[in-house]
Amino acid sequence: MPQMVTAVAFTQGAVILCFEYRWRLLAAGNFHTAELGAQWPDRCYPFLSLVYGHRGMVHGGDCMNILLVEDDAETAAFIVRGLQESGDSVLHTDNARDALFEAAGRPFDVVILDRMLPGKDGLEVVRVLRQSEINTPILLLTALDGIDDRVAGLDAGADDYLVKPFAFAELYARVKALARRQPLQAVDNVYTVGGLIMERATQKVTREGVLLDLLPREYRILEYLMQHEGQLVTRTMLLEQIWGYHFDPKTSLVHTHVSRLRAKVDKPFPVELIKTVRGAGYIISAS
Amino acid sequence: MKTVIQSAVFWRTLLVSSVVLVVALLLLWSFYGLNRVIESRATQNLLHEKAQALTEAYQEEGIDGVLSLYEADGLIWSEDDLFDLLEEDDLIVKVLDQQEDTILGFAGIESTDGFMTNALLEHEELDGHRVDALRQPLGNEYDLIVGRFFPDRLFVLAAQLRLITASMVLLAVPMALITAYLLARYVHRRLADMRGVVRRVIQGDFDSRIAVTDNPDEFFRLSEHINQMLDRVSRLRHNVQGVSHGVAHDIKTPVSNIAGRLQLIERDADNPNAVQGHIQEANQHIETLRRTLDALLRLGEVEAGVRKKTMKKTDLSLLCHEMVESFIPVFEDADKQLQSTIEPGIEITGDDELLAQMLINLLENIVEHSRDGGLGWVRLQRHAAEVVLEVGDDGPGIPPNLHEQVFDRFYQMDDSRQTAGNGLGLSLVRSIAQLHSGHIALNPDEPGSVFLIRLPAA
Repeated sequence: MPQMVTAVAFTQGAVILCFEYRWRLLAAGNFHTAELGAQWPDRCYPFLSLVYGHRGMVHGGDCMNILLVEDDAETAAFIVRGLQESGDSVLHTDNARDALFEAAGRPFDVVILDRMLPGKDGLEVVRVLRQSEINTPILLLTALDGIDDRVAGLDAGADDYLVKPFAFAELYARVKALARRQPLQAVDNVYTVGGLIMERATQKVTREGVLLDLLPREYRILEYLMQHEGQLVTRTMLLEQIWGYHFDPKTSLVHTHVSRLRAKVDKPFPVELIKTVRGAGYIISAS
Repeated sequence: MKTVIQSAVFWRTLLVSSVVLVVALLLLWSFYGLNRVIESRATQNLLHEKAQALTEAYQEEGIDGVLSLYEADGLIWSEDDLFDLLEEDDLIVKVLDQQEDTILGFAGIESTDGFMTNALLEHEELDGHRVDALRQPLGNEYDLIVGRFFPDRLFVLAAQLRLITASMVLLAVPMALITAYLLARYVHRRLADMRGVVRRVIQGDFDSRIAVTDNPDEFFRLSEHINQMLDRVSRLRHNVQGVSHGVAHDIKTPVSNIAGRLQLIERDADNPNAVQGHIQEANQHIETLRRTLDALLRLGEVEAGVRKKTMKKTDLSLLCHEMVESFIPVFEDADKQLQSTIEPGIEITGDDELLAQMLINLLENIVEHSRDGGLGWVRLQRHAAEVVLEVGDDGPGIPPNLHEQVFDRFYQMDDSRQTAGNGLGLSLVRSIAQLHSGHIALNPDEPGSVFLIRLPAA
């Protein structure tokens, strides 16, 4: 990687990140080289996003563009391979410095960021990016699964938090959910999957014209599934979203409730919409 | 000796003693000063009265009038006469003419104009004796001096006070030193005992305790607290030992199972179906391992008490209600029933997520361990300042001798550890209850296993 010009970023008054990336600065054109030497923290954050001039992610079809920041080679290889096999493009870096430049330098759909990077807390990276108004969704990977750790991660500006060890399916489902999150915020108030129609304004659910009588929790599960139509929704995602639990009950709490839901949504009809992905989760789709 | 003298108690005691001494001396001498002032006023008045009387006599009949007052005793007082004359009227009188010659009274007294203490008195025997005197003109030609001896009473008092001061200083200083030393030595000895125990604990002897005396003083209380702290530390240490065995078992077992499956995969490499089966089994073991680690970490987090800082008012009724609602289908799927009696609007100060986990662990425990077709129930009530949460079933219950042990880490009622579940669920329940300043026990009065949790209401 060409590293020529140095800029200095102070993060939270302590960490100095040095970047050398002259050609990009020159390409941006409106930057005075002299300023780059000035070691002022407030120069730094605008610098990151001003120069590269984007404010978040870009959508291009089904294929996602992902930045992976992970220092453990084996974990990284595992994730990179999984993502590539799913047809997504992934850029891997193993340190915070490169991660900041890559994330600031070009649009990604999702950043997967390890919490513990060599000599640096991944939270610093999240903070710098958010202070620079780079709003790419960030999924934090971590071995720390204390409640406080999670709260700290989300407070810093991360969008989701996944504790190691995890199954690739779990990671992928969450990345997909993050990549799809923003456009769904402005979506219309009716979800349709096959003959299943959910009117969110009236909370009415019908299938092939038949009104379904759902309990509030069943409604919320179905709503979440339909929001992520065609995507895997894992058990832990449902636990976090519907129940608000960040731990894993021993009993099949989620499975029991999804089964009840399926009994109402699918059983009376010939086509099964909610499908179980064994050992991973559920997908709702018309096909 | 050296450590005693270095001690804070020693120097503080000395300081207090010297303050007391200084205050006592100040009081004594201010008593003297007050007497002195009062006496001086009285003398001044007497002298002015006498001077006034003599001046009046002079104004009426001239100098002869003044002299006539003293004719009986002789005009000029000799040194010997002075004592006799003073018995009648303890005032010394002297009248001078313009040549400074004494024409009346005692010649040995000298003073400047106006009132002065410590006037000059020339007398063989009384030399140096203090005299208060008043000098003023008598008409145009004469000067009048009236004097009075400084009262003996005060003189003696001053002498006594000086003696007292000297002896107090001489006595008090060594006494203060001795007291300070004894006091410091006492404190030092009482603390030495504690220090010895602490040192032994540092060196690894966790069973050592401070000997507690009957005297319930502050040392006694501190000793008791230190002993209680050591008890707790010992218990924790004991727990840790138990835990490391549990961890060794609960982590090593799945790890060796995974290793075994990997070997099987290697062996069955050309049989995709078998490999698939091994992979699924291995995943199961990984799941078990992950659960154990999660539970351990969570337990550590709860016991560290970090979550206490972020506790807030929580509607426990609502939480129980939602939990029961979530678990009714789970119970039904297991061919069991779940009932609840929940008093609405009960609030406690707590951590939502941990309370949810506590309830889930209790309910899961019942789903798993109650009899087939059994009935589980949740009851939430408020008694005065206490919230009582009961989660129970109608099964055979737990033998009373195991009521404490079920909360121990890695404890499982069947020793084989064959069942799923890692024996951490109920430990976590107890830790969460304790984090919320609550208390959990198995209710011995009810049939079935009934977990009784008492929490302080918000």
